[in-house]
Amino acid sequence: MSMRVSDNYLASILVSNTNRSLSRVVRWQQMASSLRRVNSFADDPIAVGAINRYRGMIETNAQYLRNSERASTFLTATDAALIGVGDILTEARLIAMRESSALASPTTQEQAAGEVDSLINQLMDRLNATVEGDYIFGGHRTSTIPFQRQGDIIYYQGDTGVREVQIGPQATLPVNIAGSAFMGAGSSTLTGNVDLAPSLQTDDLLSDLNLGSGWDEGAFTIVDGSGMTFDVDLTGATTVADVIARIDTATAGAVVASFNPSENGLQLTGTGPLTVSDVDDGRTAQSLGLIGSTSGDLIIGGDIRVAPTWNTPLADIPSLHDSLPLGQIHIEQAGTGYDIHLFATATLGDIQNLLQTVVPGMEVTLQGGVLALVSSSTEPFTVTSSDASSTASLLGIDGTGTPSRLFGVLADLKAALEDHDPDAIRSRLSELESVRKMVLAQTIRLGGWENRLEWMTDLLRQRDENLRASLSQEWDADVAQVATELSKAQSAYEASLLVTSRLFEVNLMDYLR
Amino acid sequence: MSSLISIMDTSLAALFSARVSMQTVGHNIANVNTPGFSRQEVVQAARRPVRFTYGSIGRGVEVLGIRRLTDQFLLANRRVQSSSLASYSEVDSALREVEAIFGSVENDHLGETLNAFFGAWNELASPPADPAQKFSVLSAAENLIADFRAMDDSLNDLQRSLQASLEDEVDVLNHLLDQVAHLNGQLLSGSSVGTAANDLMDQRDLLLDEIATMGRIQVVEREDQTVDVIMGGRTMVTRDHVTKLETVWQERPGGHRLALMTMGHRIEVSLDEGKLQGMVASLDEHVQKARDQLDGLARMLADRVNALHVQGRTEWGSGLIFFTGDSAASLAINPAIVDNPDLIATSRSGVEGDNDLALEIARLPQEPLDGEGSLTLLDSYRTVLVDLASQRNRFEFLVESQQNVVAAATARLESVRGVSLDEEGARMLQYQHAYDAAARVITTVQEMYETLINM
Repeated sequence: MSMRVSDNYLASILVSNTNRSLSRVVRWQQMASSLRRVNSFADDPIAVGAINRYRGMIETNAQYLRNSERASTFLTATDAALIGVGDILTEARLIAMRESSALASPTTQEQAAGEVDSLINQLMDRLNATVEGDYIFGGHRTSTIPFQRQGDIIYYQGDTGVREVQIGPQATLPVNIAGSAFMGAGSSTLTGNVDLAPSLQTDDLLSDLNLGSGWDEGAFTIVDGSGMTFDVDLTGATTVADVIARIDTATAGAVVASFNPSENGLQLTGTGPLTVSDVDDGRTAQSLGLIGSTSGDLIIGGDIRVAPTWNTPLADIPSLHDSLPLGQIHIEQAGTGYDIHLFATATLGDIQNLLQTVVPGMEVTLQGGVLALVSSSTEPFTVTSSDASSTASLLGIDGTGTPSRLFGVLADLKAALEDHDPDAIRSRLSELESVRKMVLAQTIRLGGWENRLEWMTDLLRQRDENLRASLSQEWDADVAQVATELSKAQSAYEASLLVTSRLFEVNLMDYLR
Repeated sequence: MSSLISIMDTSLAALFSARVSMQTVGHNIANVNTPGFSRQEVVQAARRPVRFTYGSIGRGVEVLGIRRLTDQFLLANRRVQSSSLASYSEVDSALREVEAIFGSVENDHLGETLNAFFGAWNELASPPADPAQKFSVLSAAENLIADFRAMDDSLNDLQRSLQASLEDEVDVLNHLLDQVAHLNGQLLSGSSVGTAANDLMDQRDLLLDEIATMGRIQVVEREDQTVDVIMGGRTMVTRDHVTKLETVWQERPGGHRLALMTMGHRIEVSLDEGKLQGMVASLDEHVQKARDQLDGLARMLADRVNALHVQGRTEWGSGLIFFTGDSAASLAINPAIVDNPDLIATSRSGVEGDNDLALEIARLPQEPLDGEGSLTLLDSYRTVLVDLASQRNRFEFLVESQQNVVAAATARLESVRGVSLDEEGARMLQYQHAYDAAARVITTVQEMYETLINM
């Protein structure tokens, strides 16, 4: 039986249908006018969370960029000052060579003493440099002038503080070299030359890679010899294992990712020739050490290891892996020798403990991937391997720890010039050279930071674009779709209005007379 | 034996019945748009015949009564559905208010002031060491606190206005119950019969519809045409007697709540659904939850910042707590720091260029609160937003779909009880012809008389 149609029934159906079509029109109209897909919390709760997260991340990222710019200002100023210091030392060395030669005379030496005196003042000016009112070489003591001269004695009034700047979610960067580094403030330093980063592990976090600089989240493409192009999207990957798995999935097994033979990075095996390239302006493949092409079947990736910590097991460090257990090293300082057996050590922390316990005043630190030995004494010290194991060179610490007397050596040179003592003048030459090297080493360290900063700044810019793209994905309306849907909804609304007006037009009463 | 007189009588009854029917059609047409009106119908039957030896002769038609055409089941169903709708709508509109207080997708001010606060710490941490940045931290913290307070105030105002409307609605409900009892009384007194009684019942149905939006009711119809109204397990109306409701403040852990109780006996009436329940739920659950979450956020912020800041040192001594208070309303900056912003510590060493603490505080919003993988401060804030958004989404959907359900229930009900002008038009023709025909019989009888007389 068909339903009985009363006037109120008809009215209620028509009114609710018209309402429904109108509210649909309003919804699409709102999207069309705001060009946003999500206009109220109720529209899409998940997207509301994502939009909020992306907006927060963009904000924070912008803050990191501002911080990076500040850091850059400080690093550039420090760099400029150190180059000046290097020039001054070169000049002092020229003076020493000239005045220790046969051409020198007391008169020229007297004059040269004056020159060295003014070099000391120049050196102080360089190292008392400020950026925006901060003394950059004062460590944490940024409002006190770090270097002061009384006669020929220079006092350092700063401290050894390292100032760090946040340049990424998990990344800080030092931006200063404390002036104490030049004072030889009663210390001799030996900086290692072997990178002790542990071999790559599948559970290494991608954000820790490249000695803590992280990676650029994104995608890259692999082209193999059979002409296939694979897009590998690594968005959301967190560990090295994720990367390997994603490559496997994206290429359906045609390209296999594994650890490279040195275990310090990845490698790709597939049908050659293989080419890996980043998409757009990304640096994903590059930051995973995988960029490049090969005519063969194998691309060996670069070193992307995480920074070592004191807990890093020695067995995880590729350069030590085959030489364990370690042997014995010998440290000699001021006529005293120490033999240290390292065969019982299992982690870098064990080595640190042992060295610090055995050698008085010795401090062992990690600088990036290398070990550094700092003695509290001004006496130089030497480190050698005392058995056939060449342990010292494996650890990168065979060599001599030298005092870093920047001002002392100039003051000594000046005194020697005033004494007209050619031998004393000549004897300063080698120390001038080693001090210059020490300054150079600091410049190189600084250069490393600057490179990292530059890399990080690029990454932050890239991240900003990616985040904005993701935000737009969540938030922005698809204009074409909205326009289509809006016109559809409008037609439906008009149709329902038309039908309503037509239905009420006719009635039995019209036909009764 | 049949006489011409009796034919006359039969036709008169037919005329009467057609007239009554026509009047009912007129009444129906007149009330085509009257809310709650049920169409009426004349119930008529053939009169008892007169028996003769040769058989029975019909005596015409009799009007037995006028009945309402409605369906109690559809009516009850629509009431249940509209109770739910009212309940959802109430929560939905409260949640809309809460959303407005939290801001919009475009502008979530608390998120922005939080970011600005930690941004100021970042600026303070970045070289150069500039004491003037401490003023920025201070003013960012003041903005943040002002925002927490403003939101808490607004939520508090919302609760107050909900409480006030709840009290108003209870008054309205009492008034409606009164009217139902009054109509019951009128029906009891027996002074109304036929159409008048039908119209009273329509009015009563309309009142019951309105009561049903306030709270789900059960309506029990008695034989004497009166109804009992049962709400939350309590009989509110029986015959012409009414039990009224009142709002009473009740103690509960962490504050007070408004409860609905019967007037006099003070027995709590707990409603499942309806406007009143929606208001109570908005008050006790949704708005209160937003306030609790806001308090939690303020407390977490104060605890985390303070835990770091007290480790610091300044030229004035060791670090103080940065925030005082432990709720959105009571959060404030330590007055000592307001008086002397130099008391803002940036490091544990107290050396001017050291920034270790400032860095750690600046990093706080990204740090997991309870170890690796747990939520960060910003995550917690986001959870509040997403939670609110889900509730908004849920109730907006519920209201929308329930509106459709109610519309469908209304349509079905109106299909049964609504007046159809086409139908009434047809009836009109029908009764008009019946009237014409009966009149025609009378004229014919008259002619028969004349024939008889002139014989």
